[in-house]
Amino acid sequence: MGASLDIADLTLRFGGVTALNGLTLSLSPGAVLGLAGPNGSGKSSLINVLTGHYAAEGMIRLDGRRIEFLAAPERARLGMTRTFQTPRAYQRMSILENLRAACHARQPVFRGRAARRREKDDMHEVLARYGLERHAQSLPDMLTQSELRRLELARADISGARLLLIDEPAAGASDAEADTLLHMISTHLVPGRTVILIEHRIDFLRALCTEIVVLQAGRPLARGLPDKVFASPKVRECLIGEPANV
Amino acid sequence: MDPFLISVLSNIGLFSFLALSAWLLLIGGEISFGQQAYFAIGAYSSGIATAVWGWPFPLALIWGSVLGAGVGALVAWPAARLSGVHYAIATLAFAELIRAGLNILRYQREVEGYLTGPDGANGFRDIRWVYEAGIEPGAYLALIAVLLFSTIGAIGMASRLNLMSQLRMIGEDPILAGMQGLRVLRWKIGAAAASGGIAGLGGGLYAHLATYVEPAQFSVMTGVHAVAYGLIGGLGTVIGPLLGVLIDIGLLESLRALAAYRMIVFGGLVALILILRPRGILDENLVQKVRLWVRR
Repeated sequence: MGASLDIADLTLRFGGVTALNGLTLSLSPGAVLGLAGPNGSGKSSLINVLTGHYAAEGMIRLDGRRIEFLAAPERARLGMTRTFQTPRAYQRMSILENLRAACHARQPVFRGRAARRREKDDMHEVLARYGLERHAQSLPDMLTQSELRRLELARADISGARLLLIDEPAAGASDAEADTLLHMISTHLVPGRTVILIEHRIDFLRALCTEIVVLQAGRPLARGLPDKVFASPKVRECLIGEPANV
Repeated sequence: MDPFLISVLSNIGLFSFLALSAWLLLIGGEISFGQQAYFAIGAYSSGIATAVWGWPFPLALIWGSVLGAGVGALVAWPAARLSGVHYAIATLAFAELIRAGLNILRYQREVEGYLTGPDGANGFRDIRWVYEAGIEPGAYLALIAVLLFSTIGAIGMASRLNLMSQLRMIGEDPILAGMQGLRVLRWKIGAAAASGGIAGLGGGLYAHLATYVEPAQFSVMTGVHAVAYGLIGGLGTVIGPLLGVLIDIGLLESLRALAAYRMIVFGGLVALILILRPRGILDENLVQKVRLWVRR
């Protein structure tokens, strides 16, 4: 089952710029929260604060346990992972090794043959799930951008994380690619996990999310069910520049 | 065996320890120009242990290695928070500090009627345990080989347990590795300790073969060579740094026709390889190809 996440009064400043301004959110296990908002509204900053990459003021609770003072690796070990908008991979490792890399931290150093074989089977299954099986031994620079996006998802899948932060999975993707990614996320990643999803495509958010928060200047402009939020004139104006009075 | 060959092979073995120690840090993503300091720490501390304190040689070797590892961890505690050129400068400054310290280190005791121990810039002579025990150069070479292959075996074991690939993850993308739950700082300190231990062991072996060490032997050039061995031989496998040593000492220093031009040829070789194969002859790409070919 997914993890629960509570954040309260989260504030992050870069010099004179306030990226997050007293943000408070609560996610129950299995919730899929969509984060929308214009560039610079604090969406990616929130993910960076949650993973421990940036230090912010405020409180973060994962499964009821306070984690705001923990370093990034410790938070990851509690069952949190993220994907990157610009796909990231170990360039000198094969795709299979890149997947294995996502599991190292939660595995004991000494494992029996059976455990290693099981892990290998799992990895091949995940590769097949994301259409990457023929690339098991390839280096990342042999993959297309679209395949690298899928590698991000595959890595999140195999990591065993219960809280998943997905940062613009379909940025720069064609409509057909975005449909494939949407299908993969909804069938393989959402079940059994709590998810925060950043995306600019409204159809993507509508299809996946149980709740939407629209951020503007680091604070929520609107929150609620997707249909209700996207129907709001002030949200439409913020996201697509449509005048509120039309 | 020909004494010259024994001496060349012994040198190759001894400098392989130094090369391995710099290579281990290169894998973890850091360039250290200070590994000669741990070689010096190993040489001086194990030399003092046998010559001044009268310890048995095996214990002295362990002591030199443990001290190298301890100091390595201690230096890495602050230095591992740096990266790139800052890390390189920090390690270089530390190594020069050790060398300058050895230049003023006077710790002499009377042993069997002679003053024995480090005498500042005059060096540290009469580290005679191996000769007094009647160990022949050939036997000593065998000891160097056994310890070197044990070290390589330990690194091979670490690879089998996926520890080396975790170090490679940190070396390549510490942010991603951290997000995947690897405790980057602890890994870097651990790698620095292992690397200091390996260099310390090599230093201890070196001092007892040479019987005389002085601070000038542990200059920046020694550290630069240590890094260059890994960069020439390749970062893809533990054999890489050994290949680097083999090329430098085995080929350039030992072929008498080349010896006079050694530094010119060596410098040119480093430049050429960095342009043609930035991660060395046996780089990760080649190692991956060989691995796939072997499996086929």
